[in-house]
Amino acid sequence: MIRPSSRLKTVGKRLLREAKVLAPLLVLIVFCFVPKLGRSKERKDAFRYEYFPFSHFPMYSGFGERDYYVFVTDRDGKPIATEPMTFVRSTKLKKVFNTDLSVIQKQFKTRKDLLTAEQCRPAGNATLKQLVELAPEEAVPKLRQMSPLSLHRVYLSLEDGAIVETEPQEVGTWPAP
Amino acid sequence: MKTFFVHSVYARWELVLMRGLFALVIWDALPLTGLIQPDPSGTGSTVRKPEWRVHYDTTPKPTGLAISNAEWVTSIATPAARSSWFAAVIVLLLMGYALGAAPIVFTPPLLALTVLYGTLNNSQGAITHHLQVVSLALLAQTAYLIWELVRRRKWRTGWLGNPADREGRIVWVTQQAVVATYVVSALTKLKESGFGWFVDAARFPIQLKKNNQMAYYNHLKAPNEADGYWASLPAKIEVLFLESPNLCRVVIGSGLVLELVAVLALVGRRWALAVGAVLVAFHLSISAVMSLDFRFNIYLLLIFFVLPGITAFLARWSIRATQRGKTEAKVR
Repeated sequence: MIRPSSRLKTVGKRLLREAKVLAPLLVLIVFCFVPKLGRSKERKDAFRYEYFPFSHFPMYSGFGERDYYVFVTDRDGKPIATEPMTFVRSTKLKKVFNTDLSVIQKQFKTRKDLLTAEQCRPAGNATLKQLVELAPEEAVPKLRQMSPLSLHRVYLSLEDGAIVETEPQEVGTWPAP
Repeated sequence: MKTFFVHSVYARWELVLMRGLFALVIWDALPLTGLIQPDPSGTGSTVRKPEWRVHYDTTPKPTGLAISNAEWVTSIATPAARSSWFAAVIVLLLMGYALGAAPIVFTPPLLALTVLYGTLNNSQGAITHHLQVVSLALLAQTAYLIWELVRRRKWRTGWLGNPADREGRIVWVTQQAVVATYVVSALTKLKESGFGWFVDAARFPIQLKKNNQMAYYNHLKAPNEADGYWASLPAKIEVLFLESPNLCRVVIGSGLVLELVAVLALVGRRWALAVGAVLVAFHLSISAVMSLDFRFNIYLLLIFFVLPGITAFLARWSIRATQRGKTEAKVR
């Protein structure tokens, strides 16, 4: 008859053998979580969690009740196609805005969607400034002609099985006042 | 002693093929222009000298290595780095890597370049996760090569040559690096949202709508029927998921399950083929619906998981066909 303790030992040995074979995988998993665990308290933005190539890959780790997108308009309030003109996609624009918004959110200790347009403005102004800086040189005069540029955010939520959009909220301008 | 997770043994030609294809993936991951480029007149393509084109030379939102040493990170965007000899050196490094001789000489510089470029790219205010898998694969290879050199203590000859056994182990650690990205992603989802993630997955249409709207504002062009089936697919999926939240949970939830069981791709060639093919299909469907960039994951899955499975199948089929032919010849 096999004793439970000896069976446990056998299972333990087996697991150790498998762990030895998968040592690179296990080490990489630990290293990917290190930037997340050892985060600095001085930094408030999401960048403290990333140490390329180590990342905890947070994309779609949660599905919130609300989310938002941003877009840019010209002096007449008409949307601008950002990619052909500046080579900056809306997703990048949103990430830049969201990074700065996270810092503001920590200051006001509230949810991002509860921040007022005025509270969001430093983040919006910085985002538009960076958009102009990232744009190729030949696009800058065109952007100046179109200025003042405005950044708008629109929130999306699910209500009674349908997606509801809020009215666009102006959260930044370029040149900043 | 036998283990459940086991690294496969590869033929020399398979290893050469995998190494060569991965060198091309590294080329694509670096800001190096291709050899064949479209003609400025738009009439055709011409062969041109590769150029090193980095669009940023500052780190406005430093991340990773750029926090402690921004100079290192921006060094790949200096005028010296933009010169033609720099691009030529990188092409030589890639060729040396593809040939496989003295991998410990060629792998670490390529790792450094991908890490510097990835860090610079992620220090522009927007973090992306499409390049990490290439750097992690190179990191695993470099770490293994150094460990191998230290373990064998052949300081003068250990870094030369390319024995098939070592090359096979390089493929093994690369496969583990790729699998690690999926397992980490799955663990993060469970850590952040717990098993409630599956319930909340019914809110996925919000993400779909958000991505569709952002895609619209990129070009101010709404997809319509005239653009074909794929252009209107995201809108159709959005409607379908809104009508059936449970279907949405099952479809999106299967992604998390797949990430968790990705480790089964390390059981052998057949499992690698099965899991790799399903993960490629998973990425292709997400790319079509969400316009997300998963090309490096797809490349690595095809090279290190799907390809060995297909070659094993073809080899078996070829051996059986030859044996059948021999038997028939004897009967005649």
